[in-house]
Amino acid sequence: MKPVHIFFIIIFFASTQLSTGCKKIAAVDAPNTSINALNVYTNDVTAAAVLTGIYTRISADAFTSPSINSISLFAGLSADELTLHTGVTDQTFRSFYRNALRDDNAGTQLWNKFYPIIYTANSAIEGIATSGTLSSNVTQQLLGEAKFIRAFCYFYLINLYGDVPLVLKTEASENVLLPRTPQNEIYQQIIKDLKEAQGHLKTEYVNADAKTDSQEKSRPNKYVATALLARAYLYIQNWASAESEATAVINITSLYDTVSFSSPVKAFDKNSMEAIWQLQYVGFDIV
Amino acid sequence: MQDFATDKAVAWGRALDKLTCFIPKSSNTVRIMKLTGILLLAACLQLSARGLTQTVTISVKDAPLLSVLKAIEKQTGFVFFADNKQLQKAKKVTLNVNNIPLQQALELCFKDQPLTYTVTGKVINVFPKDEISVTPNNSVLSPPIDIKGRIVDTKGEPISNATVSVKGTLKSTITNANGEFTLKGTDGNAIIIITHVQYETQYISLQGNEVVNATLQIKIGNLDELQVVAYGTTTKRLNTGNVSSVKASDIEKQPVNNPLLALQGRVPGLFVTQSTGLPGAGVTVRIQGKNSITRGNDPLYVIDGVPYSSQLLPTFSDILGRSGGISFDGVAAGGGNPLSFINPADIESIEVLKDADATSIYGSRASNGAILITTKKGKAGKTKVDFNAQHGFGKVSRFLPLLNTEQYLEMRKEALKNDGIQDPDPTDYDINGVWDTTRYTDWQKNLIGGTATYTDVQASVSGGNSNTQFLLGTGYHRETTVYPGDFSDQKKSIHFDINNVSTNQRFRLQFSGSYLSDNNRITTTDLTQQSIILPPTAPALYNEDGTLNWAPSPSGSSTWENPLAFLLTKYRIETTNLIGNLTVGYQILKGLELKSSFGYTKLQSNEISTTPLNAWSPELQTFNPRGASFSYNTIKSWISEPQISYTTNIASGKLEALIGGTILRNNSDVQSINASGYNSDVVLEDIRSASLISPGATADINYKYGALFGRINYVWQDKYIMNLTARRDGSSRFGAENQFHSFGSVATAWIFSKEGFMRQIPFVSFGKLRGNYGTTGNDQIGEYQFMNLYSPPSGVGVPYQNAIGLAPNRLNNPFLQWEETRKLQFGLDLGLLADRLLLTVNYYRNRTSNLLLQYQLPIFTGFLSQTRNFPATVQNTGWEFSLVSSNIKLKDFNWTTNFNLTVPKNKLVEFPTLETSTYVSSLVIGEPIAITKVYHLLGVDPATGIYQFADQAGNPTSNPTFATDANIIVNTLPTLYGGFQNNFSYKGLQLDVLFQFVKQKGGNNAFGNTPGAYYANQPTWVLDRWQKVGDEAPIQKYNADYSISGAFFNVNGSDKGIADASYIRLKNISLSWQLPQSWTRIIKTQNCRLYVLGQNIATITDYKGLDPETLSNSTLPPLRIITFGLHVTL
Repeated sequence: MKPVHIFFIIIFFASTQLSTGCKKIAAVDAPNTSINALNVYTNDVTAAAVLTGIYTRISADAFTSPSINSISLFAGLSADELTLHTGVTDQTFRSFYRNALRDDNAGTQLWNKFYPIIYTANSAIEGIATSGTLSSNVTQQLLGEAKFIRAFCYFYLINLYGDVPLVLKTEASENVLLPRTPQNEIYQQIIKDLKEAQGHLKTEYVNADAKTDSQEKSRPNKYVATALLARAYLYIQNWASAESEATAVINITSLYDTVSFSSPVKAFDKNSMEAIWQLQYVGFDIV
Repeated sequence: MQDFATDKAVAWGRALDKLTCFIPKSSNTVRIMKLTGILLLAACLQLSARGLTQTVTISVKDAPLLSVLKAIEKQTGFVFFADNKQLQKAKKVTLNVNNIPLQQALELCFKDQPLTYTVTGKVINVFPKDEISVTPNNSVLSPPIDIKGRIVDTKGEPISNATVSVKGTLKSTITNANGEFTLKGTDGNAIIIITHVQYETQYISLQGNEVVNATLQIKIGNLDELQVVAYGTTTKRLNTGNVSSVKASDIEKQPVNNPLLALQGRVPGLFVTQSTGLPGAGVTVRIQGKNSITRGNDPLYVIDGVPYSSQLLPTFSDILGRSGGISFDGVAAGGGNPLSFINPADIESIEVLKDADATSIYGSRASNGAILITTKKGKAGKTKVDFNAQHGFGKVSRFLPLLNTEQYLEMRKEALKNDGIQDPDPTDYDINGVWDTTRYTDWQKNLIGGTATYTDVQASVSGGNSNTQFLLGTGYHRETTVYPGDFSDQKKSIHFDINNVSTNQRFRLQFSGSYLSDNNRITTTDLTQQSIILPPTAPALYNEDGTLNWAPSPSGSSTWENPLAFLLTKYRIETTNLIGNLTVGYQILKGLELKSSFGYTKLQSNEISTTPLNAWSPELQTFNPRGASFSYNTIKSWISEPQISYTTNIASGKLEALIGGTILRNNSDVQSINASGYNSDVVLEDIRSASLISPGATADINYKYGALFGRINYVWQDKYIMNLTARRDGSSRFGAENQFHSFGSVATAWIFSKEGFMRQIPFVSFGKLRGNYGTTGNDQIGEYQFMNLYSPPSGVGVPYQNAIGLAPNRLNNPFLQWEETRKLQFGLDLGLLADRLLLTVNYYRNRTSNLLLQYQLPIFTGFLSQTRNFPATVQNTGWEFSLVSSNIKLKDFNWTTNFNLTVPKNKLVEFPTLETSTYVSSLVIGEPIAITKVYHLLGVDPATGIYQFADQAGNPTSNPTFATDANIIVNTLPTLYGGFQNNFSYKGLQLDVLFQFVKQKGGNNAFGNTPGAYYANQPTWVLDRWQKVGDEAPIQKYNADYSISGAFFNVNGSDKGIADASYIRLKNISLSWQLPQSWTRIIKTQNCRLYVLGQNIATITDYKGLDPETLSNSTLPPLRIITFGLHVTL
């Protein structure tokens, strides 16, 4: 055989050998710059990051932030917690202030902010529960956080809008046809989620790794879930349960207490003893 | 026929008295000559044997020879060339034959005639016998001599494999790689015939000369010219698909920095637009229209078999303009065009593949057509050094007529008066006394009126023998801008090619590559918009001390944005492009060849943008620190394509089969960094000198693709052709449930001019009907679209608990797949009058469905929409015409005309649930997919001086509502386009003139730019404005407080604001002068040519904006470039 033949055979077969396995040819891994649904819940760090993403979004996305479109502002106007300056002509603010909401909520469409978070919480609950590769303490903490967040969102939704669709799964083809669910059924789901969250969550506040203890009240712990549960019971007029859940929080005096006016850490300051759950500001630093 | 006879008579008389140097033969050349000679001889014999198997049936008695020959022409499709006078001398013919071979019939006709003939291809030349001088008497006078010679083309390149024969004898030979030949024992008075498939035949009377040198003219619109197609080659004669070619000879006539720009106006069905006049500009390419609503519409680019990116990765600035790329998921394609990094001088030919027959073999990648680029290859012959240099200038060819100082000031004062304002605002610097109202500056002249220089130098060495050929080329290209200041785009490139074929012709190897390094130094802001809107009274650019003049007001604040400050923001893009390709082939058995090709491309660009402190006005300098941005973009891809091909003869036809596979990997990587907090302008490019560094955009995208493909081609009797192609491919861009799919096409062609009945129509020398149908896919849908990806939330300054969060960024769709285009095509190719007139007509109907659109979902699913394949259908239909005509063909003077015309039509055929989708405002069923809904303008209300529009009931209103009143649909796609090229040559002089024409609509600047407002100069036609009640005027009253700006914006969105933007452009002129051989011999060169080239010379249009191609007043129009050059071959 001439050298030319050998050369050719090597080259030709080198190229054909590569074509083994048709599926492999066209399969790619997820890009290095993003994580996908298949691998996000396979390790503690990325799984915890999904919940961190939720808090980031709640804080940044006109939810509770000092934004002019925040839910705190609208709800505060609606509850007369805030007073609207007489010179304000904006119909949205006025309609909330006068409790004369139009059926489209005058363009604020606050439900648009809750459902994407509910979707993420649902995907976390599905993914974390079936993962099997997460450490057990992180699994518990994150499941608790996700169920708390879901309950938290529905609590706001029903108090803003009454009956709303109750979405507990991620599959869009199933969700797309969901009707509104009566409020009382949603309350039952909220109570169920919060009771489960109580069982999952640690009693200590944790860091972003969902493991180590934190001095900051940035992520929900067992008492955060308990406090919301007390509030839910209160709203459905189950006074006894409301009282017992509230008492369970009040009794933890190592974490919670009233703050005197002269205290160095004021009631609304970071890590105040009066706070149960505090969202961190994530906007750009204003210099 | 008589017409030709006169031409030919002239050609006969072309006695060559030009002499060039004698080239000594080497033993090597003789050996090569023998080898190729035998091969070619075999090929010729086969050809002529087949050609002359045509049969003739004639029964005549004492008929003139002329009529007999005409009858033979009709029956066989062969064409006779003869001198009419000679034919009259011929004896009458008596013949009674039935179905005898043509050759036999000819022998009978010419048996006792004073005439004889030669057959070359389908041409039979008839001569007087005495010209051949075979009588013993003549032999005595001129004893046999040995002749030698060299055959070259008009550029002085040797022509190998040309047949040199002695008229009336069987003596013939073939030229070697150097174009040389030797014929021994030839009669000294013989006539030598030189033929070649790609060149015009030439006759030379020896008249005793022993050295014969000839220059052959290339055949225009040659049907037998090699045509590159996907995974192979064919000829125009046998091609079943719709493929157009542009050759190096046309590319090199155009001073362009992107080879795509050389295609403008030359290819039917191809619409190319340049987005700015800056070097490295974006170029949008559409083949047979726009197929996709939301996804990519770019053709597949393949360079020497290696797929090449159609879009660049995201860039900081858009100054270079887009290339029609898509933007979704917040990632937009970058400014500029990837083909800018291919040296046009390295290209041998560009093929544009349009229909299913040509593109289905590329499967899911070629729904928008394909563009194949073939680079120059080494040619056997004496080592040749080629040097080509040109230098020239570029200018903006069209400026807007703008208001002068007096008109501007009058407008401003009238506007304030209209608004009821007594005293100008403290910030109305132009009329409140701060600015000098006697100044006048032509800002267009100052900012974009400069002269760009254009320099291009190419040098190459090539040569080789019949086994191995090589080419090594290098290029340097530099262009500057028309802006004031030092900006330039500089390219350096090398290109090489090595070919080898083993002596037994069984092993073949080809290795080619190119590397180009580009350094484009520009700015981030195009000054064109500034040059148009700056008031004529605006302050001087510089202070007396040479610093930028910010014209501070009495209170000390700057009164204008000095346009030169934009130029201080430097923007540099350094790009390198490497393309390599290796192909090896081995012929196992006769007709069976194994082949494998490998390709690698790496396109890397580094961008740096720096903003020094003095780019800001003095008072802004404290708030806007110095800054810099850095970006590193890389696109890498490799491809491997093993192939097996088999060629055999079955029945009286030829079968070609091909099977192959493709494996392709592609990686795109983006890393960018923003830096600020520098303490000096000097160190802006040093990232360590920045006190604050933050990450910018990143991407790391992988794309994998695998496929099997095949083609079967059968040509029966050179008359009926069938071509089947298929591809099964899988792409990582598609969802797991739909990753693989098959595409295919069926094509047939019928060369009807071969049929017997066509003998009745002798002026039709060639006729072919084609038809094909097939499927292709569009995979330009973005990467990872089917995946459920989680990415960090954007807009976060302080990370939550100091950790980066993650959020799902879409609802995944595992069923996501390609958009599919089904292409139907019919074509007719006609060659008239011995192919002097070649006409091609194509009709296409391409229907794209399975379109990727956003399917609306209720938000409680988590997202407002999901990307889904939709059963909507977009249809592109059209007619393509092209005509190549050889109008005048004389010895010294030739005139040929090329004309092409495309009439496209785009239509949204079907879109279920359009009314409830988000596309309801932008799409209408039955209308094109690129429409704008506009108001009907009624004119200016004589009472109020404000524009009035028709509402839906037809009543006039100055405040129309878009949803109900914008009911006129304007198509923004071109409705007709083409080119008209004339080529004249007289001896060594050659002149080419190309006109490009486009019929289209676009935003046309007919109403100025909010006339009356501060800081906005206007075109002069706003002078025709409403001034007082009762005035009938086309322009509404001047207004400074924007109180009627709503009407102004609406008028730009009216049927008069988006109106005719058609144009005819003198695209290219090229004039070259070939130095006579007697001169080139003195300066010891093979060839020497001087030339002048011009691009975008003039534009005829009613369009009122700056340029109808860019349709923009804020981007630099394509420049008029004129260069002078010298091309020398040593």
